[in-house]
Amino acid sequence: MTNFEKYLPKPENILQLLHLAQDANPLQYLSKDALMEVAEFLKMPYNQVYSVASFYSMFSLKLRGKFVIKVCLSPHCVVQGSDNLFDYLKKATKKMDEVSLEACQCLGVCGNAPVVLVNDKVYGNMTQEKLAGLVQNLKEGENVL
Amino acid sequence: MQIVVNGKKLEAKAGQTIMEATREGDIYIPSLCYHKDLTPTGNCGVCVVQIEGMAALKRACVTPVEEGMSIITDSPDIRKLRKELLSLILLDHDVKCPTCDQNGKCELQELINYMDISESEYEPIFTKAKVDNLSDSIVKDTTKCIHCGRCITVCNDIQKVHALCVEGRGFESKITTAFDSSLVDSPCVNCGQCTVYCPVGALKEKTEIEEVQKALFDPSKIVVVQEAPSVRTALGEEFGMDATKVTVGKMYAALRKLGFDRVFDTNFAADLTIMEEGSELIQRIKEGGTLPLITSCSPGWVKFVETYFPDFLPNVSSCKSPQQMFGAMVKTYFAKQEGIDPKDIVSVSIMPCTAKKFEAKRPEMNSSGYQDVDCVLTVREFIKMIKGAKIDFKNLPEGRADQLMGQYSGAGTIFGATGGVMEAAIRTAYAILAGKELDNLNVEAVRGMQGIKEASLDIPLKDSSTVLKVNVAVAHGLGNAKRLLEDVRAGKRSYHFIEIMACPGGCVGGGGQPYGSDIADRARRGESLYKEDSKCEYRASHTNPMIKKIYAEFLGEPLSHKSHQYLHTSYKPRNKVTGKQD
Amino acid sequence: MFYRSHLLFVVDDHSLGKGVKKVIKAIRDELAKNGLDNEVGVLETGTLGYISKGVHFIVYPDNLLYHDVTVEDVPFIVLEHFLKGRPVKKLCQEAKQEVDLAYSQRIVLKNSGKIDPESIDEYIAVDGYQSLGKALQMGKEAVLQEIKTSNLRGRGGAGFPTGVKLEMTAKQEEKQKYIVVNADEGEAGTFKDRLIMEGDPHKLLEGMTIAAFVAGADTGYIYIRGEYQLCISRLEKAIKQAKEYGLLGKDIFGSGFDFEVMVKVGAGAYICGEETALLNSLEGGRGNPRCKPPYPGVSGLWGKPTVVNNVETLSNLPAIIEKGGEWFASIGTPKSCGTKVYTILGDVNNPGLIEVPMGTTLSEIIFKYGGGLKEGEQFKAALVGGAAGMFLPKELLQIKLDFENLSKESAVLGSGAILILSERTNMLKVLRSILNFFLHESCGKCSPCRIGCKVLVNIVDKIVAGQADASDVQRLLSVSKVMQKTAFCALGQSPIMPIASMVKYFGDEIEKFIGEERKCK
Repeated sequence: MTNFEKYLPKPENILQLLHLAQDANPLQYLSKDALMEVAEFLKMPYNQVYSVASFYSMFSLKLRGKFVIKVCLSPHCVVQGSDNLFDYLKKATKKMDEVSLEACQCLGVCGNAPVVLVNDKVYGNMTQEKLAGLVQNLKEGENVL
Repeated sequence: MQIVVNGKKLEAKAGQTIMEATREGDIYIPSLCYHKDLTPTGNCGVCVVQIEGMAALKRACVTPVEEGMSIITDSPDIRKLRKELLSLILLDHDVKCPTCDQNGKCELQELINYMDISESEYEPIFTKAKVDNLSDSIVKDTTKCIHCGRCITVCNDIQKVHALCVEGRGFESKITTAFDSSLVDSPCVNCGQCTVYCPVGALKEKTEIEEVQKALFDPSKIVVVQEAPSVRTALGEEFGMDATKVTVGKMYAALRKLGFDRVFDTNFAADLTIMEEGSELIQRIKEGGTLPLITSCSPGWVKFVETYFPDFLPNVSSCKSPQQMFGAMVKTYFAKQEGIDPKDIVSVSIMPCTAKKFEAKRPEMNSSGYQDVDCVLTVREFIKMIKGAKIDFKNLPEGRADQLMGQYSGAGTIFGATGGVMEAAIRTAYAILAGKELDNLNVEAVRGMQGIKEASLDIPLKDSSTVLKVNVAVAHGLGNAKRLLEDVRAGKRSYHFIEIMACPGGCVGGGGQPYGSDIADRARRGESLYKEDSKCEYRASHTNPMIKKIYAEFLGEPLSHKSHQYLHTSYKPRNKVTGKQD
Repeated sequence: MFYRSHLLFVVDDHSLGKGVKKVIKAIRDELAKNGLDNEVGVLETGTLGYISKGVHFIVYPDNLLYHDVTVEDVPFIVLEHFLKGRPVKKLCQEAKQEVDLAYSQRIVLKNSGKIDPESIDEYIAVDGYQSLGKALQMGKEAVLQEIKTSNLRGRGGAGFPTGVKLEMTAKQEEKQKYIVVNADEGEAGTFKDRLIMEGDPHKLLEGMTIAAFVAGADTGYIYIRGEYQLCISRLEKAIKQAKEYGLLGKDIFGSGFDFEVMVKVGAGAYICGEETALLNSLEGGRGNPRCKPPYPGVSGLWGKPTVVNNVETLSNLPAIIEKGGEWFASIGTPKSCGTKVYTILGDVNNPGLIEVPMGTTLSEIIFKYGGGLKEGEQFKAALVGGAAGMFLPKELLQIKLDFENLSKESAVLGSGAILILSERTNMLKVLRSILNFFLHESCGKCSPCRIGCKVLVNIVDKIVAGQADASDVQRLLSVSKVMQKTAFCALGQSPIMPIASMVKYFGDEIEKFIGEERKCK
């Protein structure tokens, strides 16, 4: 059971609860059981909880790796070459089960473009060389550069 | 208030949208997602109009009228936009008209044609997806879906079934169930209201025409058919006849022409249901059984109560639905009467309902040793067969049903309309309890399209001076049913007997009725049944001679051992996510 | 305690990404090791506006700005500067925000980089919450009048007059009303609201409370992007502090006015920046936009009258109440008053956050505040307003950035994001990323946007692949036009902006790809 009690069982708290449920899962996703738990707590229809969860890009309904890498593909980061970094990562992490690669939109740290996010850690001014090091560290289980 | 549409004055009511006002004024604004029964969403964008003094175009379906508002509904610019938008929508639609059930009725097809849109030179962009045909009732083909959102509104807001939802967002979004599972693994109750409102055939019934055809071709089979009360209300409108009249004789004639060996009538089984259910009610009242008793004729409702209100299962009548009672009697009583081996009988039903397909396949529906009903066709499939055989329905001479299980009372007929089961039950229960017939057989209080109807009835008990006060309620549409049950659960309302039908309007508004049926169609069909009832020779189930005969020759009496064996059933709770029984 | 020197570290999401926390810890340790911890104070503050200076801090009273500092630099800095009194020249420069960041003209960002955003006392020390007290004394009518006089217009993009908006809700007879702060900043290349909230969260709370007082709302929500963790924690802290001081909650300043504020966290959906989509999301639904009318001011959150305002808009209110509407109206241009916060990005020397009067020209922003283009680069275009914005070419460098002048060019101020692109930029690649952005962020509710976004991306991909002909370029325009006219909300109506301006000013770049087998690299 995830600790939902600090929120009132009102639909308006659904996003907070989904965040809690996802953060509590080491596989960084919302399982069917987690959605059921939220639905029961809020007395909301299950399919509605699912529909809401599937709308927001911060939630995953699929099992993810220990490390979720997000590459910003917004215009500014793309101008700085993030699309090439994304392609690079696609190849570099292909065989890594512990890594899930996702594209994301502007994270609001454009000053550090191109930006790569690993779990909740932001890495700025990324280059292919830096990424190679990062991927190596992730292979060794550490989210550091 | 007054508005100006295309330069001409038009009367409109405050609170109306532009769409409502113009449709009332017989001015057509094209749209794909708008449906007058449903809360408009503004999803498709085809209904954009120009309002004087506003820079942006506005959607007619969601924009309220204002005094003096001047609206242009069509112009070269608007027409061009609509055409381009429709071309885009068409790219996202898997065009397979000839094989589509909606061919000729499809709202997209009609609009594309009417707007004179030519074939696009661009590649279609719809997302390929597997057709979900695992459910016994509903087939979902999302490649045809145009995201109008009607099914979502019907499934969630009106029916409160919560099977369908929007998954994901943007172009990747999909109208499906949670985790995109098959409808068979969802809380879908098979009511099929989504299929009635779907404009493009993305949702339809699972067809059984081929199975029926196969049986009809097979000389070793005796193919027996029953038709639900409401079937006869919707045929006339489909064949260009007076839509306010039922077409009983032509329906029988068409079935014979199609090759059915025996043509009976579900109305007979409706009378049988009243005998059993009425007796069950009396028994529960007299013996202090669980009350309120709730009807069990509607298989969508039955699955709904199993899924969402399992605490009410003891309240649900143990009677099978008329379809299943009929099926059980065909394979026993009829087989015995005619000396046929039940294994050679194929029992077919024509139903206004998609959930009936699911009900027929319920594993427990085989107390005779054979499945009560083998094939279920919706009204739409029936019409398809008539058209397929090029039968000139309108000009068919009136036919007759076979007597044994074909004679019925007016009480059986009105089963097809909301409140009909209640009224039929009252007619019979009153007669049994009071020892005399009701003075006025028309129980007006439970008729009509109001979502929840209530009535209170004084029944003077025979051989006693006591007057029994019976409180009843009728709900149609599962959203109304939910509201009613929640009130009953909370102790806000209390009744002896409740009739619940899954579909708005009852079976006349069933999920197997012709595409595009709206609330007005449902109301009209209901009225045609009451008209038919008033003309019937027998108007209460217990007065039907064939009912007397079946009890005398086979069942004994209502609630007898044999009745229980063949005509009654039981229910089990279901999982809210998977819709499955544990 | 009296310090001879103060170090003001900028702690925002940019510097956090560069390890500011580690540097602060290293400096504190190093100062303590050298027995300087009683002489040199280390403080954390919000943004100065710089975003490309790595870990940076200002030393007072020396007025020196250290930048791009790493943990390795720390022992040397402490030894040289604070023990020996010799600033490390190669790591610092004179702090001259006055010039390059237009410091003196700041209203919204006035305190940012100067006070500790996590301390309500510091905010109060710079006259914080005085305007709230004043407003409560003035009464609703007078405050509303002042806001109307100021001619403040919404900074979220549309530029609707704030006074009129507040009045609309104030007039509603419904008892329950809400105020909602739109802090779901998602426009590509925009992070002004983030830095405003990180740098001075109490200013937003004060402005919000003033607006709630005028509108008659007793409950407020700040809907904030889920990714903005630092903002969320600073705002929650600020709310807690304000409650403790009686500046939020029941009977504020004994005026009888009650006001509660809650932070609501989003979960990644650009569309929730659209006010009605935001309301749906707040209520616990999908972030689909709603039909307008009814407007939120009449029927918003849970059907109640609701004022929805942008962070920057509300952060202007304390100054307006303090100095008067006329003062505010005197800044900027006659119809676009006050200042505007911009994020400047791209090929300029000083990318970052600036706050300048409305009507400042694009050229001034690039060359005066942005420090001009990077060495050896030539200006090609500015994408003004983010993805939903417009490419402005060289010919429009002298355009004054305000609501009127931009709308003359059918452009918008939008979120205030300005992306400077040099001659070397592959414009088609930028356009493609913009269209992909829309495809990713379209909510899918309405057909024109849901399908249109996909078709647009397909066409651009086709152009990039060298498989397109001239009719495809026309189709880009016609499809985006259909979207502009028939999409349900502003998102779907927007792609025409970058597309049309691209075709108009940089059509030759697209033509290069037509009919040629060329890859976009």
